[in-house]
Amino acid sequence: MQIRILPENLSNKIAAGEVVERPASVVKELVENAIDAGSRRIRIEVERGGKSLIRVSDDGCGMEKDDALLSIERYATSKIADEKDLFSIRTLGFRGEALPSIASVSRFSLVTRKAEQEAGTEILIEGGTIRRVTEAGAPPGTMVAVRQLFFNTPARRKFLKTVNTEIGHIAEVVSATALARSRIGFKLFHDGKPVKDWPPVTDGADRVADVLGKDLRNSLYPVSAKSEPAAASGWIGSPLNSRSTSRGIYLFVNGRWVKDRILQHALFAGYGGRLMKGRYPAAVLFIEVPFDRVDVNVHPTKHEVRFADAGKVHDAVAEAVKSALIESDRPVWEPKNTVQGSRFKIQGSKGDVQETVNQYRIFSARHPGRLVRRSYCEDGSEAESRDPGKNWISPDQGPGQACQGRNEEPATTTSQDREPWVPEMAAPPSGKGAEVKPWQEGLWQKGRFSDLRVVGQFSNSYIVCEADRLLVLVDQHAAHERILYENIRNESRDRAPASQRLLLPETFELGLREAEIIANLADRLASMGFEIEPFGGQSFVVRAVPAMLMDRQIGPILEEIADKATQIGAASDPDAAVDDARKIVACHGAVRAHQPLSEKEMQTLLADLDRCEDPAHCPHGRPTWIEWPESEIEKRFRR
Amino acid sequence: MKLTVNKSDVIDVLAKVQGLTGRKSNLAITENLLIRSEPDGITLIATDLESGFEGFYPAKIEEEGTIAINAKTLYEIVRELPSEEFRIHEVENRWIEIGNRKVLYHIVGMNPEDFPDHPQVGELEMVELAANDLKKMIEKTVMIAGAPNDKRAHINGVFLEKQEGSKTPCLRMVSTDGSRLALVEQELEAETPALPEAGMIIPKRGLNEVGKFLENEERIQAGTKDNKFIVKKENETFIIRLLEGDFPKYADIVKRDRGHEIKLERLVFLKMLKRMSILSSETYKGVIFNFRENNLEITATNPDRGESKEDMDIEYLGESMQIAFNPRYFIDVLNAVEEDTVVLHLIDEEKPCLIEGETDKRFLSVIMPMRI
Repeated sequence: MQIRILPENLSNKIAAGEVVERPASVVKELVENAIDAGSRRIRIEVERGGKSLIRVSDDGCGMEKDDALLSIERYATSKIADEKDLFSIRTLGFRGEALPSIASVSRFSLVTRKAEQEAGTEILIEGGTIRRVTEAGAPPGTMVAVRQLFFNTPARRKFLKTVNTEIGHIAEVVSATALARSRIGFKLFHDGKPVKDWPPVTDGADRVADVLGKDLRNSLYPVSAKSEPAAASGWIGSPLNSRSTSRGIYLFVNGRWVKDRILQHALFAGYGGRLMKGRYPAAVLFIEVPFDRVDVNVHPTKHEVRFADAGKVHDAVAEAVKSALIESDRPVWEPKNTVQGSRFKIQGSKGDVQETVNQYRIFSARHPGRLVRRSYCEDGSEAESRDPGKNWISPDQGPGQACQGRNEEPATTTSQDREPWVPEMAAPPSGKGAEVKPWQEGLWQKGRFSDLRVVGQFSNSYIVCEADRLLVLVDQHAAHERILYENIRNESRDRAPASQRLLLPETFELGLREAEIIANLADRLASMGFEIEPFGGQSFVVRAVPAMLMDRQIGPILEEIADKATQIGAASDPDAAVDDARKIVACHGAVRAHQPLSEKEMQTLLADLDRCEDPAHCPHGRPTWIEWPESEIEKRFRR
Repeated sequence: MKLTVNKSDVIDVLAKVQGLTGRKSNLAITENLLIRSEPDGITLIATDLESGFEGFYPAKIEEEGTIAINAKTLYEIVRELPSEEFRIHEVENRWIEIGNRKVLYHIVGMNPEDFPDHPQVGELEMVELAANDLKKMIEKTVMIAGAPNDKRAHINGVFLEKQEGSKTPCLRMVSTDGSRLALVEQELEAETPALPEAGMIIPKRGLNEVGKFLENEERIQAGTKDNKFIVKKENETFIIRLLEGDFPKYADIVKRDRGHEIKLERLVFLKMLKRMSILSSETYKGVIFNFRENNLEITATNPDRGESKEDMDIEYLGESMQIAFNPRYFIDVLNAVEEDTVVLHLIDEEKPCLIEGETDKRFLSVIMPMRI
């Protein structure tokens, strides 16, 4: 057998096998090209799920005839020039494989014109062979049409799924691209019908809401953190808007949509206990890593990336998500009739607007996404807001001391003097929210549970509270669970916890595996206040229990801890096992539902909740409180 | 049914049965009071399925019958009635009229046939006691209660046994929640065949209800039959279903002959503990007792709130000891002791601490230290 160099036509087809997996990959390559061409609006037309036609038209820079011809040659690209560029890839495409690969497996046409040229160029290719190159009249920009994909590779064609599946993949690709490019307008048509239509917007959060669901608009928390080696920005949805699939998660590395397990894990780690089991957050995260610390050239479709410091990137992203949640995922309300009349002077595009602190803060509760940044006081109020213990803007602040110069009028979605948000490829990671100066941190006050007025208890299970024009229900068990959980966690970190010795030591018996695990965990459980000794065989005797559990039946609790530890594999992850044990102890130690509480107990509970790091969720991720604004109640009463 | 009752004859019992009828059970009818006419009065029956009450009260009967009526509603009506006499009249099927000439209520009753069967006591051997003595025994033991959902009999119930033999025969009740214990004894006038030697476990909740019915100087009788504990007054009977299970061997725990004996003035000690428990919270329950030569210092530390300390003079010459306790437990005990001076029996920081009155040895409490 003779070794020979493959003809180019054939090698293109082989490359196509990698790059062009399905119609969605064609859409991705073409749309990325359109973006790299600096387009403002991109129109994608698809027929029969992309099997018959994929047409991407843009209003980008277009190409001259020679460039156009070159673009369909393999390894021809305008995007990198030398090896140095390869390690600092800033454009989406770079391999120079896409167009020739696509052209080799379809009936391909490319029409392009530079704005300053009089006539455009049209190139027709069939199965990789150029059929015709002519001058053609065309609008400025480029239009690529791909017909009958895989017409010459029947094996591939057979692997195409149904029209619905393929259009689903295409829509996902377009969604992801649109999320990262909010200033570009996208239109997607399927069989002549508009499927998606996203106008260009200046606030990325609007695009996120357009793509992931309008219900998210008011519960998007901005993420913005700069750290080495990764900066993260974007938006994450409130845990209350969690979903049952991971399809609301879009992760981007240096502007490139990736599906990366490490990053996804980091996102979950950041949410910590805020999500219920089996729930996924909505999240659009842009992770910026120095171009030389990430390899995007792992796979031709560029879905996978490789980080030079994977562990650090993971931790940086998790931390960014966590701090965004700590910052934003808190109740925000007004105590009734305590703060009144302090006025902000707000300068907006529609002229100066006067709003009371109250109105503004209520507003901020609904639109956390808009309020991260850019508010500054020009006077002496900084000393006050620096005080971490004070959670409210002081009611004593007279108009003279009030903050001035907010440079956006909050009621409008887009205001021209706001810096438009774009994840610029060329610019270094922006990390906008981080611009808030340290003394401003106290300015965006968080609601405190202790400021709520306790109205009473509903069903002996929920604390009914009132804030200004707001009805709040607090789940007593979930809230207490959270308090105890954080107490135990902090306690075993700082000091040995108190435990109650038992007058009548209790014995319990476990299964073989559970017994082994508990025996191994005994030391760590001791640091939580359990004194457990082996009692022969698979039996144990408990001599002391954490003080909060002293009037509970202890056997079942330890069985539960053992079960849980067995499930997660305590040997491999003792920390997780201990954390689960804490949750179980907190759950059993906490007040139950249907347990009447005195008013003082309820107030203490609310005050304790304020000291929690994450007061909004129980350790299992269920919310601790829910609210109804007065307006909603009025609506239901048809007032 | 048509009858006339004097408010003063029934108002007390109507109030007291609320503890039984107010408890949620899986039968809605247990919120009702069963009223049955007898030739010369009425019988009232209430139950929460675990404990049952039956009492007989005078009434003028015009027509016989049996009704089941919501106990809370009836109590609220009778309590507010302006006159002494009132009439209960089942006008038609379960349509019950209550009132007198001026005030009139019509209440829908439930079907008395649905009311759970009330066991008949019949003949049995009983032991006679002063109501007040039994009441005190109950109060001192049921104050140590476990969690409401704890299913363990020895936590849920009080152990009652008869002590006979060498010393004077007596009844003994023991109660524990796992980390503390109370023991109360009451002498009997003579040995009795009533109540079995082996002892029994009576639900604390039921005993608590019995306690409400025990007042004044009357005598009561107690006995057991068919797994039930029975307390009988002249016209009232309480029946509690016993709990099944073993009570732990507690004899070692209540031995007095070890460790240091420390005498304390009850009220001074109590007030001190109350002050020291102000700073305790659910996470920081413990306070530390520092026993030094002739001095007891108690310190409380709560990282969330602050710290406190107080000391008092005591008679103590042993080695210095540092023991952590839940002050709540001591406060409960000191409130229950009826003497001016209490005695602590202390061994070390791990062993249980015994507390009792200086002279009355019939009430003994045991508290387990905490580990800090």
